[in-house]
Amino acid sequence: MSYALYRRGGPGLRLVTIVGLVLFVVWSAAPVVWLILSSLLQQKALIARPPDLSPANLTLDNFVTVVASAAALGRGILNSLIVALFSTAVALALGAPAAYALARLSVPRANAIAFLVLATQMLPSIAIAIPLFLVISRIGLIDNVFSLGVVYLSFNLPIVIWILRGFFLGIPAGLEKAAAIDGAGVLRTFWHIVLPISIPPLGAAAVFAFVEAWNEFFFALILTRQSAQTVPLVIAAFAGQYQTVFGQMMAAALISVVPVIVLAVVFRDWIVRGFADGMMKG
Amino acid sequence: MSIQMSRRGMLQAAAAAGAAAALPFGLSSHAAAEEALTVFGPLPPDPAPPGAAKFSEAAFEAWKKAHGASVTYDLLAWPQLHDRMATAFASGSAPWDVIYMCGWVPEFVSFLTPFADELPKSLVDDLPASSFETVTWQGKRYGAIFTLSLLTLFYNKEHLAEVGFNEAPKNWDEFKRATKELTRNGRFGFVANYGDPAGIGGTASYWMAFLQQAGGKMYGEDGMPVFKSDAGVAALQMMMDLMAAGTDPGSISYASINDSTNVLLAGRASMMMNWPFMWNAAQDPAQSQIVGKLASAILPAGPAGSASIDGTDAWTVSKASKNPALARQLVEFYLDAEVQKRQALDTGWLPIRLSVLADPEVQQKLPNAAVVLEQAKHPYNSFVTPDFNQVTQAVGTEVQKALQGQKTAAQAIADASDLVTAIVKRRG
Repeated sequence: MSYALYRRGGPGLRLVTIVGLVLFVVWSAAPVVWLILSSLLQQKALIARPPDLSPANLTLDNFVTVVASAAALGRGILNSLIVALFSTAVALALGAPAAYALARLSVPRANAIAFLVLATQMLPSIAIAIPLFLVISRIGLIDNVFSLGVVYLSFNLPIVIWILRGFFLGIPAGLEKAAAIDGAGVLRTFWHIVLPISIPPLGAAAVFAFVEAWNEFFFALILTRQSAQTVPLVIAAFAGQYQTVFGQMMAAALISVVPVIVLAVVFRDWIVRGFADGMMKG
Repeated sequence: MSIQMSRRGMLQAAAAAGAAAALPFGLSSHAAAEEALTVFGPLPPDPAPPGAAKFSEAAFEAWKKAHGASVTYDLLAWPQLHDRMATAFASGSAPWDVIYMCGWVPEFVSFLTPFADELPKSLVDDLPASSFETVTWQGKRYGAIFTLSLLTLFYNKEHLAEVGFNEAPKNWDEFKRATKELTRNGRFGFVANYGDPAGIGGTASYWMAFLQQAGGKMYGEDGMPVFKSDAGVAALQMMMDLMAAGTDPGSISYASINDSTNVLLAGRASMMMNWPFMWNAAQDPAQSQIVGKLASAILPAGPAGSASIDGTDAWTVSKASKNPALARQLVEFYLDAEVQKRQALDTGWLPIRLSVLADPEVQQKLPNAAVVLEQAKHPYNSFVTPDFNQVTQAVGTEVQKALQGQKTAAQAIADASDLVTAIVKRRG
């Protein structure tokens, strides 16, 4: 529904719209609010039914405990940053030209190749876990953040290619023709004409790839030991066989999502424009 | 760049090399490098070794020094241990010397060495003989249990007193009656975690405890399932009766022992079957609303008496270990009487050594130690096999269906038996 339609509509339509939006915001924000609340409550308040939210139960102890034993969390955040930035940067560097080629150049069976790229995502992680572990183990790169980053490329690269391919398909042909008339080759056109107007979708793809890498758990579990552990593993450590320390787990989770939230806030315009462009033109 | 060496220099270098070669072996190896061991296990507060958990740290340092060893811990949250282990073993790249196991010995037996057959007699004699059942495969002992972790009954003595029970129910009839009478005032008489069918502590394993109480067993001498019996059906019927009498209906969705423990700690249920770890958690005011109200007892007896299952927390030694003898010595250190005592006093994880379990100081600090020791006098077989996960998945799923009223006890047990028979036949 457009804003104009909303303005023209009667009070009934406006009320329904507002109620719908409020419900949507509550639905979306509830998990985050609960995350924050849980991180500030004692375990016994959390396990009560209903949870005892009285101010007497509010505490910063969970944060104090998590920060006091911050070596693992700090190392986890640093590792996640390295892995996510590395795989995102390489995915963009390789994915953008690949997407451009599949979208704009005369590549034989470009659509089939694009679907083949997508098809790699259809394999369940467990199916490739052992071969992957074997290869990485044989070359001595278990517990290495860069080998983990390379593995993450296997799912980040297709994402980047598909997001950018959608955008590149919508670029007016006249732009490339004008560049060709001025003597620009394919590479120069890509570098000087196409990339500068592709910043929003590049940003969107980057944020998406970063978040995927930041949250990944399974490969991090099997391919790391102690030194390359990423944030999801550190957070999972608060859930043991016999005891789950919910408050501390939520405090650690809250601390660990800060970089992602900052990223999303800083690049929110690019994300929205990038995905909108990709969807409309793809 | 050229290097010039005088005749005197050459002689000095040769003399130094000769002297180094003449040093006693131990000294030269100390100077060269320490023997390195890697231990794979769970993060505390789950049962972790000295140096990982906070106990016997000075003794651990002394052991390393005395053995010229360095020990690296590769610790992971318990729920992720099996997956990492399975991947590493399957790819032939497991880098560990000493490995924690929890009912997985038969599954990974081809990667382990039967080191426990070489443990000193004085140590073995101080361990419950039945503690080796879950780490023995085809007559060889591949592991050593390091904490006596048996299911026992935990109950809120204040709740029980309110309905006239001055002690825990002793048999199935009392158990059902207590559950029914305790279900009042918005709380439930009993709570369990029936949400996850598989594994130690899953739905199937609870049924295994009842099965033994009813006088049944999982497998016959030929390895085929024999639980399609009166005992198998009676065990499941008991669980269903408890459900109807007043088991927290949420039990069918509580996937881990954490969930059901929290219900008891919040005072919303009165009884549960749980592991020894619960004692300390219940005494912590930060997480428990029943401080000072918890008591424990052996599991109520069925027609054949009381019985339980074993948590099977064990240390094993990898077949690929470059230092199997040193690895075995490290496990012996973990089982040292003083280390076991500190394990109990400082972490709350009960020892496995009988002499330490009987230690007055341990029993005073952990009153449930005597109960677990008493429970250990009754059967506590967890029936682990190489396909334990598949078996318990199959049985547990059928038990869940019965608990939800989708099948009768007899029907569920018959179907479970068919499924397990097929699994065992596939194993060959």
